[in-house]
Formats: sequence, C-alpha cells, structure tokens
Amino acid sequence: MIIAIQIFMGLLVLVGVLVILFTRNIVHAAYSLGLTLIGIAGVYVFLMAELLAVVQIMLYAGGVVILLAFGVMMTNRLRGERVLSGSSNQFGGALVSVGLFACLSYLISTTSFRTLPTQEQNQIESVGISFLTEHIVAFELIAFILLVALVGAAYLAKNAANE
Amino acid sequence: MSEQVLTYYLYLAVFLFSAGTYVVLTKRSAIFVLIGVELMLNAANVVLAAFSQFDPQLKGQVVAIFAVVLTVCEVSIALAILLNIYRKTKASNLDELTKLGNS
Repeated sequence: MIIAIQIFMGLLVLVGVLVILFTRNIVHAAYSLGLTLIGIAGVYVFLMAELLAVVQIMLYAGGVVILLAFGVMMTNRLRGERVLSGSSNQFGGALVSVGLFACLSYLISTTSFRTLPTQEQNQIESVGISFLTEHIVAFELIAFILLVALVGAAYLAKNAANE
Repeated sequence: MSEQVLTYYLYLAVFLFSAGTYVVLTKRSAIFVLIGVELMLNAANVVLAAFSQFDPQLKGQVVAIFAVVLTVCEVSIALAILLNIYRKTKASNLDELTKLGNS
C-alpha cells in the first residue's frame, strides 16, 4: 500500500513535468507546476520530512504558483494576447537534457548506496532545535533576506506601476 | 529504507533536473524559464531530503528549508524585474530583449 502511494506521488510529479515540457500555454504550465510541487510535498512525507512538506505546500504551492500566475496576467494578458510561449533550440536543448539524464542515471545505477539505518526520531523537533542553536546565524540572516527581498520586490513593482 | 527506494527518489530528482534544464534552454517566455528554474531547485531539494534521513542531525532538511525560502525571494524579485522590463519594452519574450539602457 505504501509502495503504491509512493508510486502515485511519483506519477503526479511525472505527469506535471510532462505537461510543463509539452504545453505552449504558460497558464497551463504554471498550474501543472503546482501539481508537481504538491507531488514533491508527498514525496517529502514519505522521506519523513514533514516540516519540509508543509513548507513546500505553503511557500511553493501556495505562494510561488500564485505569483507566477499573477506574473502571466500582469504581462501578456494586459494586451489581450494569448499566453503562448514559443520554443527555440529544441534539438540542442533535448540533446543536453537527455545527455544529462543519461549521465546522471548511469552514475546512480553504477553506485552502490550502502544505506544506514533510517532515523526514526521526531524530526520536526530536532530540525527546530538545530535552527535555533547550530544554525541560528543563518536562520536570522534568512529572515532578514526574506524581508529585504519582499520590500524590494514591492518597491520595484510600484515603480513599474507608476510609469 | 532500502537501496531501491533511495535510488527511486534519486531517479525522480534526476528526471526533474533534466526536465528543468530542457525548459530553461528551449522555452522563450521569461515566466517559463522561471518555472524551469523552480524544477531544478526542487530536484536539489529532493536529493537533500532523501539523503538527510540517514543523518541523525538532519542537516539536509535544514539546508533544504533555507533553499525553499531563498527560492521564494528569488521568484518575487524576478517577477518584479520582469514587470519593469515589460512596462518599459512591452516584451515578455526573452529573444526580444536585445538592448540595454533606455533606448
């Protein structure tokens, strides 16, 4: 049963990515990115990273996808044109990405991962403790960066709206 | 967690990364390129989460959460810049952006 749900989450990711690869409509791509991100959140649950799964759903599936949809509406849709995206360099891009996939898959298939026992602890608690003890400088810094980035984005967008 | 399950997640991450590379290299709309960058960042996060469950200190998860927050910053700034470019040049296609400055 667990294996079936794991494979289902993998299929969710697979279908979302395939839609992104083969669609020309940017809105369809943004919403199938949301599907992919929800599938990845399910993958995190099976990797016993519950906090990461919740952060993924709140920030990615809730924030980034909506931001991208707004980005589409504020640019192409204002002129009433259709939100299609062309493609170029299709042969070269396919060559590079298939080559990358083949090389990395070959490396994974030839490496033998001798796995350690999985940690069966309360992961949220230990992640929270390591945030506030060992990684406290990075934690405060990233909160500051988030604040500065959001204020800066609002300022840039305000200047664009005034002109 | 057995070795097969671990390699299943690694193949998933490799697929996400190469699909993101394809989207970044071929699509011409700037928002599409951002979507491709998101896919590549998520592939890195899947690998971090997959390996961090063998680590008693869970450092991979901590780094992955930092990466998610930084990605949100990156997307908001990038969309604000795109909005500015669109207001100035009426172009959302990356191939049309060939000039610097106000010309």
